Amino acid sequence: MIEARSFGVRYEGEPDQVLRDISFSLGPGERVLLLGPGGSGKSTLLASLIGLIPHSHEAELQGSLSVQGLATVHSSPGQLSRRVGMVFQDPDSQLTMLTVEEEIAFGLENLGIPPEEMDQRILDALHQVGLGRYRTSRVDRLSGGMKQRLVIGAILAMEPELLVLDEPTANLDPRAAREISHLLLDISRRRRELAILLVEHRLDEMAPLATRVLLLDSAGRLVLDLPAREAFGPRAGTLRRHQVWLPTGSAAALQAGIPPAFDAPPGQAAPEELEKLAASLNQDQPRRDCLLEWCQPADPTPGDPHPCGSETPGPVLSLENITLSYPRTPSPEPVLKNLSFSLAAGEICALAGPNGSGKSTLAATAMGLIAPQTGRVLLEGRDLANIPLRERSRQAGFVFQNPEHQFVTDSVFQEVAFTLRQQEFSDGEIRERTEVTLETLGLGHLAGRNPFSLSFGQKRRLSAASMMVAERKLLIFDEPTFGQDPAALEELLNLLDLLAARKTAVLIITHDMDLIWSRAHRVALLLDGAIALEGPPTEVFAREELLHRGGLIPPPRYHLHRALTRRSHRREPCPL
Amino acid sequence: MNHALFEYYQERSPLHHLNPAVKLISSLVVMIFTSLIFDPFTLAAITLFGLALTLGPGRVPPTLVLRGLIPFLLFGAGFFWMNALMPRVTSGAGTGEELLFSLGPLGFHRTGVINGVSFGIRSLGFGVYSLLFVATTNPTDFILSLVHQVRLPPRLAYSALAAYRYLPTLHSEITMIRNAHQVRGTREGSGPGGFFRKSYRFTIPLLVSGLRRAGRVADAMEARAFTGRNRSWYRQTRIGFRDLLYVVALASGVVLITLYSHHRGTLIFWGGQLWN
Repeated sequence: MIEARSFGVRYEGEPDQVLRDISFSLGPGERVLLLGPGGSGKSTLLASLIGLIPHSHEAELQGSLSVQGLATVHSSPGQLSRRVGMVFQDPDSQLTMLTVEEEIAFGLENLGIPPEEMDQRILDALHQVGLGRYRTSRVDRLSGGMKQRLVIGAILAMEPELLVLDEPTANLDPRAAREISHLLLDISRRRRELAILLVEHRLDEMAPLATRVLLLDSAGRLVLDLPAREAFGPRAGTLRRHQVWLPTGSAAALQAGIPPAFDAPPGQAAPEELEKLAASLNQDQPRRDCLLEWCQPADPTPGDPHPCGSETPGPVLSLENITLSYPRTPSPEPVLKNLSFSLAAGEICALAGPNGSGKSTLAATAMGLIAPQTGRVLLEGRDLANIPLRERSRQAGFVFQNPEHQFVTDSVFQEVAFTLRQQEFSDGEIRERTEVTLETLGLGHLAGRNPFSLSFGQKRRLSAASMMVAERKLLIFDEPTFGQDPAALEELLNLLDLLAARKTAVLIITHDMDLIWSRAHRVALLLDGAIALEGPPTEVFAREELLHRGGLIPPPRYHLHRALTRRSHRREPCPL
Repeated sequence: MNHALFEYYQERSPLHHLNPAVKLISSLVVMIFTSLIFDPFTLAAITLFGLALTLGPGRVPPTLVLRGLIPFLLFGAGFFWMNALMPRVTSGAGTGEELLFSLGPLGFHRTGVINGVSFGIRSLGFGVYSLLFVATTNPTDFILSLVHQVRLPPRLAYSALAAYRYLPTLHSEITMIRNAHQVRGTREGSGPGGFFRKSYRFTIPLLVSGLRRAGRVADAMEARAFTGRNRSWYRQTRIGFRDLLYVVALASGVVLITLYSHHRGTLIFWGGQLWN
């Protein structure tokens, strides 16, 4: 199906090869997971398979790459896409038409399928991706997960022999991501001949799907090509050395120093496998402790307990009975309904919930970017409405999801220095602090670059740096872990701890369940403009049903932790 | 969330089923025709005729019509004031003109007021006939009909559709950039310098994300075999009997109104006004 021989790619005007000397072949029915650290050329390889490289993006190719005997150098995307279907990361920019059925028809029209045949194909495709009821719906009314399912349906209707997916769940909440993984498994069971090549970071969901794993290193070389069972089992250490994500089971085994095993049949729930792992450590106290520490949640009581009698300081942020609705919207329903919420100094609180539940609105209200119709927002006890804009931006910071929105200067250094200048630091201090901050976030060597020329992960870290450099009372992050590889993520998480230690109140809007589990002191689940559930992660994750309504699924680490502690309670009650 | 004042209203009315290209061209013809008429009575009658079509066979709710017409009302009011206060410019007559009434230092002359009223009503008429088209036309059908009836190349047509889909995103993106800059505490200062700096800061991220999105959309379309050639069409927009019927009805309505106005002696047809 795919035949790569010493395949290499170098983009026009770039000194280095993105991919070099890639050789592999892929047969019908194989399900392959392509892994590699950021910038290792995963997307380039996928785009080459469909001819976007070199036909739409100019590049110099070496060796050969062919799909079903068609050499990609000589075949246009138009020809190749009759055999290869490609699903990209962002659902919105893949949808061309305005309604669901038109969207499916679009691909069929491009293939020149006679209109009489289209109805049946559209029906089948929608049925297969579970969107049968939405045939005439407008595309912009669908949720992110439904859009992505629609894209997959539209591709399936074209009956490709190879399905290529480039991080299809990156923009989705955990529940929608799980639905995509179930859908892919279902599809591969129905179409046994269909080969799937997938790039994905959510390995807990996607690893069980894979029959085979390919690993690219940071120089764009193929360094590992093994059955999934081996790659995530005995060779998991190699994967970890290359800074790629691992399924929690494999990562946990590596952590505990026991040989990882990976033989979960596709579709099996992760908790069972982790239960087994926990059980295997029954007799091995030191390893069990080590693992327990690894999957420990954040301490729910941040900072030092206040000595008896001393006055507890008031919350840094408090929202009191906020009701807010947007003017000129078709639905008169308020986005936030009589919502109250507070955040203490040094506290890391996660705000989770489905898209449209009001998370961003809540954050924008807390920053004073939108004024609520009723209720008030207090920053350290002062009504936000009475604090001048300039002072507000000194006290409270917001790291936006799209880092580019926040860039206001032309260099990485200036971007961070800008914040300090606002706070009227001396020139010497500005230089010193900026350099230290850039260094901590691994951006030191990029100080002179234009912010827009950085990679996505670097941009995110830069926007975080520009907010963290000054000591603020309140910092809000919108999806901070999105698009970060394990190493960069570790840096970011350490910075969160640092912030908490500096007594900054931190609010994180996130879908990242692992982040919530390992860092948040408290989680608030927002459903339909009200806080449906609030408490430490251990308590909130126990309410699976309610979580599920909010599109959330407890992370495997939570299950592992539960399995480990349950045993400890049974065997030796309360060792502390 | 949709902030558009002027948008497609999903319905299944007789006007919704017409061929979009036919509807667009006939609306344009009526608008050109009203540009040649200079008396308030005829213009008002033609405007009301269009309004009746939109509300009746078009089944567009009155509130939506009213919302869509707000900019045209403001526009019309502006035109009225301009013309009413400057009779000389518009009428070419001038001195010895009958003064209708005065408001402090402002004098309202007969020709000026008449011209002002007709300008105002004409702009409203433009609004009504544009709304008639926009509110009853599914954007996809419109694009399809441009391809099928007006022979627009599919590549251009689908780019237009992609751009149309991007508009709401653009709106929310601008809001987000404004918020993000406000959070960073930017101060551009007032005056042209500040305006320039602000525009610069807004343009770069918008341009970058716009280009990136355009690239992604193009990639995704190509990946779905879009070449613009050898396509089949799931739905074919055609010109049918009802389109003919509509054109005849619209034309006879407008002509009858004009003839009646002529009969009454109210019609002022173009006689070189605004020409020199």
